[in-house]
This record gives sequence, C-alpha cells and structure tokens, in this order.
Amino acid sequence: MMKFWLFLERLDRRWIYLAIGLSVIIPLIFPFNSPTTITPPTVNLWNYIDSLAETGKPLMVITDYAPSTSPELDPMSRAVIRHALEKDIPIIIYGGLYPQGFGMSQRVEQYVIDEMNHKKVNGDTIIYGEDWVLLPFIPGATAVIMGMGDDFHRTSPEDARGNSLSDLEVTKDVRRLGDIGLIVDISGSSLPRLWLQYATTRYGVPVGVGTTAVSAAEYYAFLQTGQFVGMMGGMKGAAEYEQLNEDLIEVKVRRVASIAMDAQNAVHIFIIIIVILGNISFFVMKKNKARRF
Amino acid sequence: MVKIILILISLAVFISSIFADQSDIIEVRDVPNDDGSALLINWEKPDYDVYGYQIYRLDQGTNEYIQVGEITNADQTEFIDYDPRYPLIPGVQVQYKIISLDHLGNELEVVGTSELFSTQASLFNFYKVNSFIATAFIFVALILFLNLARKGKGLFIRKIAGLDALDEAVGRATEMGKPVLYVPGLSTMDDVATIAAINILGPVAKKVAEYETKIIVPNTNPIVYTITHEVVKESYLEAGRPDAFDTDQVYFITDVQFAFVAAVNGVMMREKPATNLFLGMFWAESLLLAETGNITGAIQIAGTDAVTQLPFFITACDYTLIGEELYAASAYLSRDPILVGTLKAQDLEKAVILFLLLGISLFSLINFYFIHSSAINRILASILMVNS
Amino acid sequence: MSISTNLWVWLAAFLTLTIYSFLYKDNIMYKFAEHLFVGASVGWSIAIIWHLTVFQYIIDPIKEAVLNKDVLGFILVLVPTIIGLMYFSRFSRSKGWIARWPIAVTMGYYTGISITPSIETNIFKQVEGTILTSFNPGSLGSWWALLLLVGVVTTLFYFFFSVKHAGFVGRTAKVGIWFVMIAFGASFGYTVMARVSLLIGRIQFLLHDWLGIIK
Repeated sequence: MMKFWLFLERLDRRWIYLAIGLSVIIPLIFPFNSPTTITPPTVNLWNYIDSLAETGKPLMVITDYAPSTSPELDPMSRAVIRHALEKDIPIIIYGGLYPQGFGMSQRVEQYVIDEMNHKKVNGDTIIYGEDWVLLPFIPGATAVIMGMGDDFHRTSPEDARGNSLSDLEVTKDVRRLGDIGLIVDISGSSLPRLWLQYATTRYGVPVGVGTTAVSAAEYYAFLQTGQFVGMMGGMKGAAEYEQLNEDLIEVKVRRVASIAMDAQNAVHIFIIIIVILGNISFFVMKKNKARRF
Repeated sequence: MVKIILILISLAVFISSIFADQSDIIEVRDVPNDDGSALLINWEKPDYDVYGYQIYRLDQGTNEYIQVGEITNADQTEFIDYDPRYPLIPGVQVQYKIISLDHLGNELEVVGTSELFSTQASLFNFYKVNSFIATAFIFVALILFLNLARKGKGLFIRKIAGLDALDEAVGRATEMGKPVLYVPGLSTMDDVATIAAINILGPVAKKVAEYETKIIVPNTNPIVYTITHEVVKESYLEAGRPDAFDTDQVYFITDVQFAFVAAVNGVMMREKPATNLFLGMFWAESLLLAETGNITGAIQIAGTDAVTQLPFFITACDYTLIGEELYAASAYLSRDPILVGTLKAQDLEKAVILFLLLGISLFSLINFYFIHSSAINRILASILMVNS
Repeated sequence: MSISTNLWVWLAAFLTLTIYSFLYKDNIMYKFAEHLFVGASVGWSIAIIWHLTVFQYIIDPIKEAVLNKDVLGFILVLVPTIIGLMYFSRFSRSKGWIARWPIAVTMGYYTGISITPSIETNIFKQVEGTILTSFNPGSLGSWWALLLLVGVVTTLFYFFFSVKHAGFVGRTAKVGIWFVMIAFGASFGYTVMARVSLLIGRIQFLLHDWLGIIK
C-alpha cells in the first residue's frame, strides 16, 4: 500500500494532464447524456425574458467578453438570443463597453440568424431591423451607459451597419435606457456590476447576468438581494438555459453547452478522486515521515 | 383704481371658469426630484368609445403642436412626457392637448387641453438623501481620523497574525542561510495593494539586513522597480549594513505577465529561497508562483486584495493576508498617518454597518413578533431607502 | 467524419495545439504562438481605437465643426482632446508631471459619478438584503437568511482592526474566518469548473470544427 502512496506523490503531473484530456475527449465522442438539473437563477432569468413578450419592450443582450471566455459565454448568448427571437421579442445586440465584445456580438448574431433562417422558410424568416438590431462599439465605458440613460439615439446614432436608429423598428422608440425591458450582460469580468450600478440604480432598468463560473460566486450576493433578475453561471448555466429552451419553447438545435456537460461531469469526478487521493497520500506520507525520524 | 382691478380680476376668473371645464380634465404635474426633463400628464377617460390617445404639446414661443406620444390603450390615462427628441426646458411654458383615437388609429376628437405649465429642475434629489448622509459621513470620518493620525494620537491597530508569521519566515531564511524572495505584485503604483506591499517591504528588508541574509526583489513595472530599489537600499542603511546591499538583488525583469512568472519561477528553482513573500496585486499568475514555491519547499506568505486569487494563495501558501489585512499590515508597520487614518475610518464605517444590520434586524423582529405595526416597518425600510 | 477545408480553421487548430504543447514542456513553438497572440491582440485594439475613437470622436467632429463654422462644437471636442493628449507627456522626464492633469480629471469624473450609485448598489442594497425582517422557524428560507446574517456579522468582526482579537471578539472573528474560507472554497470549485469549460471549448473546436469527429 505504501508503494501506491509513494507512487502518487512522485507521479509526474503530465500524466494528470493527459488523464484530464482523455476525460474530456472520451465523453465528447461517446456521450452518456447526463441529465441537466435546472436551478432557480436560470429559471428566473428565462421567465423574465419570456415575460418581455407581453410588454413589447426590447431586450438588450450584451456580449461583454473576449475569445478567452467564449466557450462558456457563447452558448449563453446564443441561447438567450434564440429564445427572444422565437418569442418575437425585439432584440438589441450590443458588444458592450470594450472593443473585443463587438467581434463576439457579430459572431453570435451570425450564428443564430443562420440557424433560424435556415429552419424557417421565406415569409417566416427573421428580418434585420424588425426583429433585431446590432449596435456598434462605442468608446467611453461608464460614460456610454450614462449617455444611453439620458439619450439613446444621441449616444449611438447609428447601428453597426450604418442605419439610423430612428429608422429601425426595434430602436425607433427606444429613447432612453429606461425604454428597454431588460439588459442581459454576458461577461466574465466585473462589468455586470457596472451595468447594475448605473443602468439599474440610476435608470431603473433591470439587469440579468450570464457569467463565467469564476465570477458566479461573486454574483450570488447580488442575486440574493434581487439586484440581478437572474443568472446563468458557467457552462452549466448555459446548458440549463438550452434545456429550458428545448423543454418550454421546443427549440431543437445543437446544444453546445449541454453536449459539454458530459465531459464536464467526467472531469469533475476525476478531480474529486485525485483531490481525495492526494489528501490521503499527503497525510499518510506525513505520518510515515514522522515515524521515521 | 382698486375697483377697476377688482373688476378685471373677477372678469378674468369668470372667463377662465368658462374654459376651466375643459382644462380640468387634464392635469399636468411636475415630476419631482429630477432635472426638469419630465412632466406627468393625467386625464379622464371620455364617456364614448375610444381605442387610444395622441398627446400633443405646444411650446411657448412656437405656434405648432408637436406630437410627443401615442397610447393604444383606452384605459391608460397617464403619460410621462420624457423624450429626448422633444426636450422640455425648465421655465418654458407648455400646453398639452389630448386627442382620442378610434380603432383604426384615426383622430376622433379633442379630449381636452391643459393649462400652461412649466417644468422645474430640482436642486436636490430627496430620494438620494440617505446616500448623501452616507457619503458625508464617510468624508467626515476620513478627515477626522486623518487629522488625529497626523497629530500623532496613538490610534490603536491590532497586531495582524500574519506579521508574526512574517518574522518567523525571515528568521528561518537566516537559519538556513538562504535568501528571501519578495514579489511586490504585478501592478503599478496606482494600486493600493502595491503601495501596501512596498510599505511592508521596508521593515522586512531591514530585518533581512540585520540578520545578514539576502533579499531578492524581482519587478514587473519600471516605476515600482525604482521605488523598491530605493526602499531596500534605505532599509540596509537603517540597519547599519549599507555595505551588504547589492544593487543587483532588486531588479526589473519584464512587464509581460507570464514571461515575468517564468523568470521568477526560474529564480525559485535555481536559488531555492527559504522564504517567498508574494504581497500586492496578482492575477492569473498567483497559482503558478505559489505552486512553484511550494515545490521548492519554501515557507510562503502571500497577501492580496484580489478576491479571485485569494483561494489559490490560501491553498498553496503557509499564511495569507486576506484583503484588507494587507492594508492593515502595511499601516501597522509603516504608521503612515494616511494609511492609519483611512483604516480607522473604514473600521468606523464597518461598525456603523454592523450596527445597522443588527439594529434594524432586531427592531424588525420585535415588530414582527410583538407589535405588528406597518408604520414601524416603513420607517425601518426607509433608513435604507434606495431610489426606485 | 468530415475534416474542415477552411484554412482559418486549420490555422486556429494548429495554434491551439501549439499552446497546449506547453503542458508537456516549454518550447519554441509555444513561445511563437504566445507572442503572435499578444501582437495580434494589441494590433487589433489599436486599429479599432484608431477607427472607432480617434476618427469617429475626434477627427470627424472637428472636420464637421470647421466646415459648419461651429465654434462651440469645435471647442467641445478640442478641449477634451488636449486634456487626453497630456497623457503623452509621460514620455518626457522633465514634463512628466503634466500627465497628472488628465489623471486628475478622469479620477474626479469617475469618483463623482460613482459614489452615489456604488453606495446604493454595494452597501445599501446589500445591507438591505442581509437584514432579517421576519423569522419563521418552520421555513428553510428563514434559516438561510439567519445564516447569512451571522456570516456577514462575524466576517465584519474578523476585519475589525481597532479591537484586539481576544475573548468574545476573537471567538466571533474565528467564526467569521470559517465563513470566509467556505466562500473561498466555493469560489475555488467554480474556478476549476470554469477552467475545465475552457478546455472543453477548445477540444470541441478540435473535434467538431476541425476534425469533424463529433456532431
């Protein structure tokens, strides 16, 4: 037995990297379709977005992230936009306060639009300007939120394609941030807090958040107080949203995050095992060394 | 003369009473506590079939009504005129006209016309009065404690447990005859954590000089580098060992995050310092540094206010100064009035928050169980009233 | 199975593998990819800022103001531009102090606009959410609310520096640090999950977009 603990202690970490790599690859190739349990923060967000259909107010989806966190956040953006388009909720897609986000918003937009227009035929396809609008990057960070709060059209006179916002069905009546039904900020940074601080506290617009698992723990504090209407945390949150889309509004598409959950589960089990083994090994070796000296 | 005025007034009252019927239907009110950019308009629903309304406004100095809004719900008889396209200017009088619509959206007839009204910009937003009190309190506390600290009043700061560990760790390096590695974070001088790290570096370097051990200080920022260099040099001088100071023990590596980490990890593997101190601002490199140090078997003490990095330091280091403890340690060691004053002011603010938390909870519970008064509930809620 | 025929996908796949080669050992290909990444991202940001900020918010408005002889519009763009340009004085040793002016303006502006909302968002709302307004022993929610209150109060005790950690205060602070550690544990777990997700994202790209092995 001692030999085993000694082996563990001396194990080259590269073997662990390899094992983790395999725990990701194998479930991706041979999925075992683990069930997705849905948690209240995601349901709350889904319901809030769903209820916008009655008010007719637009939803603003902000892709405030860079490629480094896109595996977690892209599926969220896609699922939220998809949900809104299915329910005919007008959407303003916005790349957020930093330049990288604009690239992300273009990519996500293209993906969802292709998917939807591929499925639907002719008359039923979604149309730019009537169903959604893409905003350009606007420099100025906090000043941009404040500007939109006071006069939306002055802060962003044109969309990303050079049309005047007053000419587009989605944005022609959005005079201030207050005319937006909900802002969903999808970001791995502390930017959702900025939107909360200005958009909600100052202009009274509700904010929901989609965030990386790293930041999720931080945002629970704001979820508990009801400051965020709901939250998707990490890939699990995205998978939950995809599940809700499929169960409640019958969106049948490739569920990127849900496919990943098998691999996620496999790696988590592997990590739990090595954490336990590592700790036992640590204490056994410590005891053994103490005995020897 | 007086008679004529009285007659004129009564005439005016009489004439206005003829038209009053119509304007009474529409009531215009100023939205309070704002910059004067909004008016609230209420009207009565007409007694015939309507499907909506159109709201028109006439601004003083112009002679044409502009449409400022449209409502497609007959039961909604309230409208807030708050549109940046047709801004309201405080002091400029306006008049509203409401026109009812049929089911096709055609105009039916004029519901009414309002009296002349102008918006008012408020100097003070009373919804924010508690924010104002809180801000004023923070400022007063800060100024008060800064002055006390400047006057040299002995403001008490408790000893931070991590500082004992720091002493011990430096002592161990001396016993083993190995160097101490001190990384003052990866941020710039604007960061409070960097300033705290430099304040702690002074006394540590002094102790190292007294024990005749070596301290290695790699830097990632040129400005921070010049300061740490001076601080270490000064500390050796204070310890009476200027001869032992080697100018190459404090150096600049690179400002590229992971290249810096690679270089510092190299130092840890080659020089095998007995003690590693990571104090200041860290990002994703925290675990890389702390893990390498762990492999070399050094005693490690970390301190940062980067909440996301703290878990990594806690798992991989022997002792970690958590968040504010880093500032407190720096104030404790440096006795700098600004740091001490700020720390004391923050303590007072925390005490007030604690008091509010416990006090309001207690009163709410007493009310909930014994008194059941909604008035008390409202008073308690208004203490933390946030503009909604 | 259908391997991608898109050259960009191949390039992305190559760079992904190059970066992951670091797990085996640091090597020249990894360094190449790392530098390429840093260079490309800096270049991209400069291009974006040049087109979307410098042109759109400085050069174009100035041109327009000059053409329309709009003096006020011209000044409103020129003054902030000059303040911003003062940042460049950092490159001079003797004139470096000028950079303090734009820093002062920026700091003043952000402090001014952020004090009220941050007090409301981060203090008032948080305190409000922690306060126990009612307690029903039969409901689990009440017990969670109580736990939250205890956690916040004891943690605040831990971060008091004006009182010695002895006796009652010491014991309370000890409970507080337990709460802090549990919070760090949760955050650590979430971080592991996030890192694994990123790995999955890359491997999905390799297996789906590049090699076409999975659907």
